[in-house]
Amino acid sequence: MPKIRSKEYNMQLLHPGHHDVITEYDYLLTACGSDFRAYQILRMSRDFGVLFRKVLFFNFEERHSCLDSTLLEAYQSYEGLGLNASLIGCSIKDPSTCVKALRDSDPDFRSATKVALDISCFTKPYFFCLLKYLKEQTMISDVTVFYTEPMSYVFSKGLYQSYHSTSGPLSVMEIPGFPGNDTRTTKKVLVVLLGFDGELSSFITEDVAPDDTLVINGFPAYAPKFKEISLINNEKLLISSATGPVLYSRANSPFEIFNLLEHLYEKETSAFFNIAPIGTKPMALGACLFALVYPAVRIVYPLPQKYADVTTQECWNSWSYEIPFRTT
Amino acid sequence: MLIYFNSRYGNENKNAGKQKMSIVLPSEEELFYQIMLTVDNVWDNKLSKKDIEKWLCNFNGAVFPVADERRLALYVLSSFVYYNENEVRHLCRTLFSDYLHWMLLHEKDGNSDVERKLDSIVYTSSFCPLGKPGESGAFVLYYFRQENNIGTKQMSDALHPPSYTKTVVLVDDVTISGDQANAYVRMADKSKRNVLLTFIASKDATEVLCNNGIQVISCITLDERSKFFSNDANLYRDFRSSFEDCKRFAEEYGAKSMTYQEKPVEPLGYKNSQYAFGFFYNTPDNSLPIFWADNQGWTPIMKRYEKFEEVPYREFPRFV
Amino acid sequence: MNSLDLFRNPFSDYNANAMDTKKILDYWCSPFSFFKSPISEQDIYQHDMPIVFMGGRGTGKTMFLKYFSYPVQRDEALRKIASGISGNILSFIKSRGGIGFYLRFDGPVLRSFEGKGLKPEIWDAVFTQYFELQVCKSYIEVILDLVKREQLPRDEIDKEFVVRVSQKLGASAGKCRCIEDILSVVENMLEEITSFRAKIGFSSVQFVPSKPFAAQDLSFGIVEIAIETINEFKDGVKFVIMVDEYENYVERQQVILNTLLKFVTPGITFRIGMRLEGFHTYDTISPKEFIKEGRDYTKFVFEDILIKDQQHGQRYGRFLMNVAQKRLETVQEFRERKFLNISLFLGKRENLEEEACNLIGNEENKTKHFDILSRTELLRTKLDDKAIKNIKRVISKPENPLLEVLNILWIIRGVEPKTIKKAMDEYLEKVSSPLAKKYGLDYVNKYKLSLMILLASIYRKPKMYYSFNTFCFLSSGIVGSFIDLCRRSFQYAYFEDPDTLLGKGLIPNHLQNRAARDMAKTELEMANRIQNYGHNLYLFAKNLGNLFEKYQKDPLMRYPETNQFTIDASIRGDRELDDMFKTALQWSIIQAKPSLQGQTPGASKTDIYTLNRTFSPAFDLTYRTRGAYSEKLDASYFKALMTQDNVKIRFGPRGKKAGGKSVKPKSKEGLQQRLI
Repeated sequence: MPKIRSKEYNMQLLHPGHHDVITEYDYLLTACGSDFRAYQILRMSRDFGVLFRKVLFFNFEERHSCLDSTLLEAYQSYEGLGLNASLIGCSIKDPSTCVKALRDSDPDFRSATKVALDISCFTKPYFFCLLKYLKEQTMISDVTVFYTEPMSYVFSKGLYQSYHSTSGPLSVMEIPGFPGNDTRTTKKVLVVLLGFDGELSSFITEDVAPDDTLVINGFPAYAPKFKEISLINNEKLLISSATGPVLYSRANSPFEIFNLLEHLYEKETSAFFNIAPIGTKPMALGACLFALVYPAVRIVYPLPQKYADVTTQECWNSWSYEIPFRTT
Repeated sequence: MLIYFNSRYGNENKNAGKQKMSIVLPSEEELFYQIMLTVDNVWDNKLSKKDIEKWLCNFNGAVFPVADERRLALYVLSSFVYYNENEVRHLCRTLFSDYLHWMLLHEKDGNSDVERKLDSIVYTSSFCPLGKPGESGAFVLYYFRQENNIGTKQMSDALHPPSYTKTVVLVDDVTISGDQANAYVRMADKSKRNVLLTFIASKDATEVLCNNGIQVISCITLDERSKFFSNDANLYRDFRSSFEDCKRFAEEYGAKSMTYQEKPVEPLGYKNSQYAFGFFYNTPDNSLPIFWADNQGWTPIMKRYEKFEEVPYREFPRFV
Repeated sequence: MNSLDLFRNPFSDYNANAMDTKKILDYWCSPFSFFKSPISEQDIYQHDMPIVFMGGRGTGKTMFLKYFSYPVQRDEALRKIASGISGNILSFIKSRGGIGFYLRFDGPVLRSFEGKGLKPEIWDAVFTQYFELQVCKSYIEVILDLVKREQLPRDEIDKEFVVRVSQKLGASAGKCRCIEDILSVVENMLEEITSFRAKIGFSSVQFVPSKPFAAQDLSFGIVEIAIETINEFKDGVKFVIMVDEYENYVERQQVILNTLLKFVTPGITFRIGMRLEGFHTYDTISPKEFIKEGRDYTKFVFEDILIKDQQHGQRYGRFLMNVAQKRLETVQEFRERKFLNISLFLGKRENLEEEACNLIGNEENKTKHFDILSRTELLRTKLDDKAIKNIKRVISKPENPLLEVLNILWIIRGVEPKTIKKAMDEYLEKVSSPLAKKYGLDYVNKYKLSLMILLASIYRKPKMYYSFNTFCFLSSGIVGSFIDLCRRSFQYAYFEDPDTLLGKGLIPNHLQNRAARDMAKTELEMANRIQNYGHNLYLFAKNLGNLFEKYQKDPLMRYPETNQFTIDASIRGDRELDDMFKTALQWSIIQAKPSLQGQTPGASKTDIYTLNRTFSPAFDLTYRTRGAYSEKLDASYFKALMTQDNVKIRFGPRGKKAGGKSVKPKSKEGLQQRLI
C-alpha cells in the first residue's frame, strides 16, 4: 500500500449561539422520520449557524404508512418549518432505485456544489448509497454530514438485552454498490462494528461465515455505560474463538474508525474484508468512507422486515463532519 | 406506574412495618444474569457470584424489605461502569490523538505539512503527571507513554519542563472538581501553554479550568445523564416513579457505609458527585460509596485504594 | 495464573463455519463409528449419484462436508504421515477415491444476483458465469496445491493440462504458461463479475464478459481435461463438488444447479448440504425435466439417523459423549484432572424421587396433591372428607411423593386403596407378583416423568431439566443444540460455582436447569427472526407448547407425555399453509418422526411430527416422545395455531371419562429408553 499522507479532519460539535459566519448549503438531504432527531438540524439550523437553500426529504412509504397518529404528526412536522423543500418517495428496502432516480428528481441538484446530508434518520444502506452516488455521479468534492445523538435508548424493564431495533425476519444483504472483491484473497475477515442489538451480529456472522471476526466497540461511547451494553448484548459473538480481542473506536467519530479500519486492512493484505456497520451511525459513516476509498471491501447489512418504531429518546449533541471524497 | 413488589422470600415477619418500594425492577434472577454477562464480557471476570452475595449482605432491610433492597442494589451494580486495562490503554491512545487534533487546529505556525507540524507539536510538548509520583496521574502516564510510543525525553516535571517546551501536557485519569489541576495552575509557567489530558472530566471542571488558563481535553465528558440522581439520569428512564426511593436507598446506605471509613465522604460520593464508575486499578471516591467503602461496617464490591497524605499507623510483620 | 484465569468454556465454538482445518480435525467425531447408516464413509467419495445431506441448524452438515473436503483431508494425511504411517497426500486421497471441493457462497452474495432493475434471465447468465468460474477456481487451486507439494509433476501439468484449459478459457488465456497463470486468468474473469455487481446498483451497465460460459463448460469440462491429461487422476479419482447451504440459493439459481445435479458425468458428482425442505424447486432448465429423489439424487437426513437412534438405541448418547470429550480435552484443568466425561459433569440421569422431595420440601402443605381426590369431576363417585382422609392414610408414602401421585391416579381409575397399598408394598419389597409387576411397569416405564411434571404443576413450580440423559433428549438429534446446552451450563457454573466446576468436575442441577430454560426461551424468540414466516413459526411453537402442556398436566393422565401431532392432508394442498409447514420443518421448529407411524397404536400409518424438544423447558413438557397418541391438526386449527396468539386449546380425544378405565392402547406402547 502507498504511504498515506496525514490530514486534519473536521468534526464539530454544533453549539447553539450567535455565529458571525453562516455556512450556506445548496442542498440538504434528509430522511423523514417520527424520531425527534429527524428534524433537529433543521429546527436548530439558525442557532447552529447553517442555512440550507433547499431540502430534499426522503419520504419512506414503509415508515409513514404504519404510524399511529402521534408518531405520524411527528413524522410530518417538517411541514411546519417553512422550508424550500421537495419530497422524494422511496422504499426503505430498495435504496438503489431511489438513488438512481435522484438525478431526475431535481434538475438543479446536478449543479450543486455544496451539499449536506443529515444521517440521523436514514438507514445505513441508504446513506451509504447516497454517499457513493454523490462521490461517483456528481462533481462534489466533499460533503458535510450532520448527525444528532439520541439522549438515551429504550430498554424495556431496564434490561439491556431487551433492546431490539428491528422485528421480524432478517436478511443479510450486500449494500448496493459495495460488493467488494474477494478474488485473490485467501480468507474472509468480517469486521463487526458492535451495536446494541446482539441478534444482528449473530445473524450476520452465521450467514457470512468468516474465517476471522474482528469486533470494534464504540468507545468512548455517547454515554459511559453504552460501551458495556454493546458487549453484553453481543456475547454470543464474543465467546467464539474465531473472534479476536475487542478493539475500540470512538462512537461519534467517523475518522477514528476510518484510521482503525485502515490499520487493520494494512495487516490483512490477503483477506477479503467485510464490514458489518451495525454500531453507531458516525462509525458507519467512517466505514462508508473507508469502503469508498478501498472498493475491494464489502459492506454487509441485515435488512429487517420491520424497524422498531421507537428505540431512542430525545436529542443530545449534534455534530457536523466534513467528509472528503477526493483523498490524496 | 406504581406496582407494589411482592417479596419472593416469605420474610414477611422480618419486613413487617417496612415501607414497600414503589418500583418495578427486573427480578433478582434477571439482574444476576445481566451482571453475569457483564462480568464475563466486560469486567474481566473480576467478580463471582460469591463476591456479589457478600456485598449484598450489607443491605439488611434498613430502608426497604431485604428482597427489594437486594434487587435495588443489583440494579445499581449493573449500572456501574468498569474500565478494564485494554480500555484504559485505548483511552490513552484516544487522548493523545485528541491532543494532536486540538493542537493542529490551534497551533498556527505557518507550516502546511501536517506530518511535519505533528512532529513539531510532539517535540515541543512535555508530558507530566498531574499530582505526585505514586498518584493515579503518574500511573496513567506510564500507559500513556507506552501506547503512544513517546520518548522518555518528552517526559518531565510539570513545573520544570525543558526550555524548548512550548506546551506542558498534564495527564490524569479523572477530573471532576478540578481542585488538583487548579492547585497546579497557581504555580504554572504562564508563558507556556498548559493542557490537561484526562480520561474523564466533568463539564463544570472543564469550564473552570479553561477560565483559569488550562485547556482540558478529555475522552469522556460526564454530563447530567451520568449522575445517578439528576433529572436527566439515564438510569431511571424506565422507572421515573422510583427516583425518590432509589435516592433514599443510596443516601442511607451511603451514610452507613461511611460510618467507620477512615476518610469519609458524602453519602453520594465526594462532593455529592453521584457517579458509578471505576478503573481496573482503583475506584474514585466520586462514585457512590456503597460500591467501594471498606471498613468494619461495610464490605466493598469495587475496591478503592485510599490516598493518604500521611499514613497514621503502620503495622510491620514479625520478620523484616 | 490460577485455574480461573486459564478457564475457557470448552463449548464456546459451535459453528463449523468459523472453524479452521485444525479445529475441524480436533473436534471431528465420525458418525459412521457410532451409527448404522444407509451410506458408508466410502460412499462420500465413491457413490456415483449425487447425495443430498439434509438437516436442521446445528446437526453437523457443514462440519461433515468440510471434513471430507480437500484442505482437511490433506491435513489429516499430513498428520498421519507425521505419526509414521507411510504414504503421501495423493496416495491418501486416492485411497479415499476422490477429492472434495467445498463451496459455500454466503447469503449476501447469492442475493446480490437479483433485482436492481435487471431481468432475471440476465442474472441467470451472470450467476452461471460466476458459479462456473468459482468451481473452476476451486479445481485449479487444489491442483496447484498438489503441484506445490510435489504430489503432481509440474512439467506435465504445464505441458498438457494448462494448454487444454487455457484453450477452454479463451483468448485472454492464450499466453498461459503455467497453472498459476490459469488461476490468474480465472480470477480476472471473476473480477469482471464483481465489477458489474458494483456498478449495476447505480447505473444501467451491461454485462460483457471476456468469455461467456454456459453451465457445465468449466464445472464438468475442466474435470474431463484433468482426467484425460493428469495420469494420477486417470484411475478413478472422483471430483466431488460439495455445495453447502443450498437453501441460500434463490429459486432460479437452484434451477441451474439442479440441472448440473441431474446430468453429472462420470468422474464428477455432487454432495449437497442443506436444511430440511431446502429445495425451493426441483425444476431444471429444461421445462420438462426435474430432479427426483432416488432417481437423480440420494437423500440422507441427519436427524433421521440421530432421532431414530435416540428412541431405540444408545449410540446417540455415546456419540455426544465423544463429541463432548474432544472439547473437554482442550481445557487444561479438565485434562489434568481427567474430567473428560460430560455425563459425570451433568449427572447421568435425573433423580426424580429426589427432585420430587425437594419440590415439596419447603411447602407448608406437603400433601396438596391429594386435593385431586376432591375434584368430583374426575371421580366416578364423590368422596367426602372422611373418605379422602382414609384413602390418604392407606396410600400415603411421604418419602416418595411420586408414588403417592401414582396411587392417586390408580384411585381415580377405580382401584381399591388396599389393592394399591399392596401393589406398592410388593413393588418396594421386590416381591415377584403380577400386581407388583404392573405397579412397577406403570411407575418406572410409563408414568414416572409424567408424575413429576404433574406434581410440579400442582405445586405451581417448574419442572427441572438436568442430567446428561435429559440434555441428549432436549437436543432433539441436533448436536449443535447439545453443545449449546453444555455451553450455557458451563457458563453459569463458572460464574456461580467455579470451585465445584473446576475442583470436582460437577455442575449443580439448578444451573443446568437454568441453562435449559434460557436456551428454550432464546430459541423460541429466535423463531421470530426466521426469514420467511418468522412470526408465524413463533406463534406455532408457542401454541403447540401450550397445547401439549395441557395434555401433560392432565391429572387423569389420559394421554401422558403427548407431544406429537399429525396434519390433515388438506394443509399440504394449501400453498401458504404448506409453505409455512415446510419452513417449520426446515428450521427444525418441528421434526418429523423417522418413519411413518400410526397416529394412535393400531391406526393406519401417517407422518407424525413433534415439537422440537429444545422448547420443552419453556412449557414444562416432557422431553420424550411416547408414541401413544398424536394430536390431529385439521387445516383450520393448523392455521389458527400458525396465525393467532393464545389459541384456545382443544384438549383431547375425546373420551376418557372420570373414573373410567385407564387408557390402554391395543398394541404395545413405546417404552422409555435411556440413552446410557
